[in-house]
Amino acid sequence: MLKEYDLVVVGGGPAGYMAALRGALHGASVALVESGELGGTCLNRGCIPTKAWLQTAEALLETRDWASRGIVLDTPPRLDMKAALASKDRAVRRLTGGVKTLLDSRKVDILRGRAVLTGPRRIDVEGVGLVTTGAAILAGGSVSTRLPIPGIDSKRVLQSEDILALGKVPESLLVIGGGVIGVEIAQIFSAFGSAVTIIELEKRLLPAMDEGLSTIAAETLARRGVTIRTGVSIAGIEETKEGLALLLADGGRIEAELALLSVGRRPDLSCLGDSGVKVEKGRVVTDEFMETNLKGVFAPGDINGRKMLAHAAFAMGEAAADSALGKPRRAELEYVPSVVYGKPELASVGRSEAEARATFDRVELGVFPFAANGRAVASGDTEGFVKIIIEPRHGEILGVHIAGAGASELINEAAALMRLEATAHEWADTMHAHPSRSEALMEAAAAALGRCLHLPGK
Amino acid sequence: MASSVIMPKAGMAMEEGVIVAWLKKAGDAVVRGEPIAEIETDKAVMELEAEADGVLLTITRGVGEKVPVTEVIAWIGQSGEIPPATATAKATAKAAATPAATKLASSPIPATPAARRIAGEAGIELASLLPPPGGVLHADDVRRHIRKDATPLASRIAEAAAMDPGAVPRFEGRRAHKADVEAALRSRTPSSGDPQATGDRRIPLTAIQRITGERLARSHAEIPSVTLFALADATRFLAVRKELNAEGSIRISVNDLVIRACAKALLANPRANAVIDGDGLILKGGIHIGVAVATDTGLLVPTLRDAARLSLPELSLRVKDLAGRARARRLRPEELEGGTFTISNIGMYGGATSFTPIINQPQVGILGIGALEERLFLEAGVPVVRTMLHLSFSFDHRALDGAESSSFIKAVKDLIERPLLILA
Repeated sequence: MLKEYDLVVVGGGPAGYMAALRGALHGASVALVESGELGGTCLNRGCIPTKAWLQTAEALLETRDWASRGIVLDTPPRLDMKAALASKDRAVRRLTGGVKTLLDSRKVDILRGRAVLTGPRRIDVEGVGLVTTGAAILAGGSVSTRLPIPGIDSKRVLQSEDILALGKVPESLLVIGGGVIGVEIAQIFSAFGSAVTIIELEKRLLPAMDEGLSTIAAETLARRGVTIRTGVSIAGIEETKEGLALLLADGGRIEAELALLSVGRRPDLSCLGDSGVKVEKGRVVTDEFMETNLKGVFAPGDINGRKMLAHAAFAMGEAAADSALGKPRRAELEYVPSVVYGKPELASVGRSEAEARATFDRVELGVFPFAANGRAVASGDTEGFVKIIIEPRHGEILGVHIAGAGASELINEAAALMRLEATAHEWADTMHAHPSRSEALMEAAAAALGRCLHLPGK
Repeated sequence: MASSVIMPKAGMAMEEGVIVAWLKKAGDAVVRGEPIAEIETDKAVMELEAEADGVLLTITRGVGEKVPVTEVIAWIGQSGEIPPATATAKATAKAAATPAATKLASSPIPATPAARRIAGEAGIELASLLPPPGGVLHADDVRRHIRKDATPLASRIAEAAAMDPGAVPRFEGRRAHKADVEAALRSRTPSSGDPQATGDRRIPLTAIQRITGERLARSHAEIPSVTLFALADATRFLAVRKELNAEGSIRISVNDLVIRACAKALLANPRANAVIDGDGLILKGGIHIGVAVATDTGLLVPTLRDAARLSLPELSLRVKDLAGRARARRLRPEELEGGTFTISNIGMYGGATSFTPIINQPQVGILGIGALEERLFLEAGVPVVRTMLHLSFSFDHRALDGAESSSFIKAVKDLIERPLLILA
């Protein structure tokens, strides 16, 4: 029997499940199609499992400082990799189960199978058959980017999902690609005890972030024994008896037991079929309402490549559902925070210093180090800083960059104020609880205006 | 006991007035009949006179404020007397606390017309504003809200550019954001020499343009109007005018002479000097000619009363005075009322030769003065140059028929062609 819905969503990741929930909230009959686990890359292979293991890694690192705080361990801590794996899997299961509960609670039908768009209002679901729908939301997500070099298909070259299932810690690990995923996983395995080397093609780690954050990331990783090679291109990969060897374009050679390929992600276009959805540079083309060139077909999330982040996908999924059900809504992607987890945490929203200087005639920086923040000093975690970039005429906040503990939480204050178009003036005058790490934001705003009293006068 | 000074209702259509200036300040002694403020209505600026002797105790509405008619703007009383403003405020606050006030919330928002208009222009839902203690939203309440209703960044950018953030058109009624202010600034100052580069601009109509526009539209929709065109030989007319101006100290314009000719033609054609009144036609006793004047803020039509009784120099002086004060917005409201016929002159602009004027309701006719034009004629086989004046006459076909209307325009044409009869 032909099934018919108001809204069919392909993909159970952040964009897809949010679109389905939002559609159901509007009273539409909604089906969500997913061939794997609910939760998408974020919950199963990305944000959540890496955060679980980073917590383990940070806990291990912290024990090194305990003696200075008066806590003495008689035997050094040892990692039980099996327990670490189980703990991470519990977190993932709990959250993917939570997604199912939410979808069930709003009576969203979950169809299991691969889906392909066969017409503007028709979706073929493997094992279910043809489903017709008022509107289609294709939240197909993304897959890891492959590199076209010899030897890349070696079993010892892992994708992020493979490495997150490892039951043992490798002696040595080569991380190919020093972006967000590479830097996070390098920190995990470095703390777990692997000898880690990061290879990055660009001149610096985290090339998409503000240079100040790249610098502090490189410094702390180096201090913990991670080898960083930037500006390096790879010619090929060879398997060796103990592992593999990376052949560099300049003739060099780096050996390790395993390698992680983390050079980015690209849209997964498999759900498009030959429906005629317009694709450019491997990304589905959509307008701000997430609609594709086909009327009634929407494509939120990683599949359109606008911002490959779960929180951006949430916003795009909601906008797509609203737009699909006749309540057109733009996906607001102006103030998308981005975070690199680890120690220190790195977080940004808005323009980098270089971007700001390229756009505006005058910019002012306000930098406040956590070493001058009472809470940070008391808790012995003074690494990092807050850097606020403003346009001095009106105090417009152009970008905020934070390195240090809690950056992923602090950045949301910055994003909220930027979205509400507060200026550095209001920020500097907003009372913050003392002592708190958030005070560093207020102080940096004041510093950008040249009136921070908790920094020495010039 | 103190007496209130209210915003006067100076004309049927007046709903609100703007305080242009206070001629007295609080504490000044005032005498009954003495001007204490200047008030601007939609069509004119007038002086507001004190209606009691005493002292101006307090001024409750400041310069620039738009105040609905009958609302208190000041108090006059005896020296040392306390104006009852506080008592009133208490009373209204108390009223607001009664259940009747809660009922108001579910009924349409009580607001002055000005408040509604300003809110409408800014795209703000009145329902989103809290009514003040008095219960009725005034224009200033809306303006205050609009000013506040901009993001801090938008406010700073607007203020730095000397732009009122409240005047910024915003997106779907949300508070003004940076992008809204920047768009408004772009439309204010074209960034390049190319005016097409700035995109669409919205220019609000002035009060005069709105009111005139409504009247023109109604007239155009309601009246079955017909326009007659005539070409009058104005060669002698112009020669006579030249002679008059060579002698007299008053410069007589073509317009003045045509107004006088028109007044005389109306005397001979009383059906054209009339107003429609339901299913009747009132032939007006006096001949009061409305003279259309273009001003910076729109079209005004002051009335030249008893046009047929004025000598030509008197007529000329009166028209100049009315036109000058119309441009300065210094007409009294009654000077804009009571017309029985209208004349509109576009001849001085060059360009068009003739046009179809729109009748000024409830009048039944309007004379259009067009361009002067030299034409060649054959007179007894000899080509001669004559200067012709384009005339048009729009009339309400319900009031006049073809014979009557032709008779009127012919009378005007004859007078222009025999100009001594105009002077007679």
